[in-house]
Amino acid sequence: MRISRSRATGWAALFAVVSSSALADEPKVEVLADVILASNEGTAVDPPSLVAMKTEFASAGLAFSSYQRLSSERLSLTKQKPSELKLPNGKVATVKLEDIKNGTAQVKVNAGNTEVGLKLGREGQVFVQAGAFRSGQLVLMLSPGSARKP
Amino acid sequence: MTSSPACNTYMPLLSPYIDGELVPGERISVERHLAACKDCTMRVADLRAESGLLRVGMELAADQADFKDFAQKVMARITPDRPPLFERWKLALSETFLYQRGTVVTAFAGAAVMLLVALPLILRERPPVGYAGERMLVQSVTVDDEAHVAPVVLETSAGNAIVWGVHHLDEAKPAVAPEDEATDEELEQEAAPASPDDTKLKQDKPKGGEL
Repeated sequence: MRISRSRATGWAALFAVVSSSALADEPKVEVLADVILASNEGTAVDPPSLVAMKTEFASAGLAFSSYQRLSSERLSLTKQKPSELKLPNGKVATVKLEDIKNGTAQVKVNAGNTEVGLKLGREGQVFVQAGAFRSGQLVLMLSPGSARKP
Repeated sequence: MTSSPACNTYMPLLSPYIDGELVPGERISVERHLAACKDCTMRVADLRAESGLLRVGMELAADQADFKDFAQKVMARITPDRPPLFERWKLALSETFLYQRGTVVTAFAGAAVMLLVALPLILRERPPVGYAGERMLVQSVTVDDEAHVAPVVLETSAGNAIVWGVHHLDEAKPAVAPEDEATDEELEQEAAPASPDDTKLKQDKPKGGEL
């Protein structure tokens, strides 16, 4: 059976539209991941917006004197594969979208020796200890994707 | 029936006269001639009778004819082949742009303006994908056995959660002499804390975040 060129082009276009719409259906959830070094060496807080974190940690009984942001990355999470975050201590933290239930994303975070299951929300932050580095502790700070980098 | 030279002049005008096709001047001239010419008056009567018969015959023929779907049948005869869908779309678009360009441009401009106005409103109303929940919540925490720490979820003054590993008290036991019957309180005091933070954690007994 001979297929005319215009018909073949039409089928190709239809296939492209269908496949692109299928790809567009793959949910992507954005989350802001900051790596902070909390230590008792000095009193530097960099950037200054981390003063709020210092206050919160102090209120929870974790009294570090210095907080320094080492990296900040906006991760685009999918169900297919976890997003990796290289930590300065040589380890790798992973953040994976497990599911989206009733519009709320459920995320699994693996940092250091800890695995944390999270439900994402429009407000708030979650701090996860991510192992030792230099003379302090690395903290993975997860914020909503819509949050601006401090 | 003889005909005078005047009749020969008026005879070609008789049929148009009956059909009402003459200009007023000719019609008046023919009527003057008919008033004076008996032959031509008879000719006009014959022509009228003939015309009436013809009309009746045509009406009879028209009554017998089937005019159902007349327009469709005519259109089917004058449209040879139905072009392919793409060609029809192309033709319709080109004709629309050719004959109704102003309307099309206005419609597109209106749609673009509506989209520009409505899109930000729609996007602002909807939370980002995955963020239907109001606050970030910790659901579960697990720690590798090899880590020898217990996970603690602390709630901060701002309502955020801190997931932190605290050293097991069991690990501090060797620091106490086996023969001593140390109480839990003594164990806590004698166990050398890994960091000043751990000491504070044990003393304050953190309430923990949402699980």
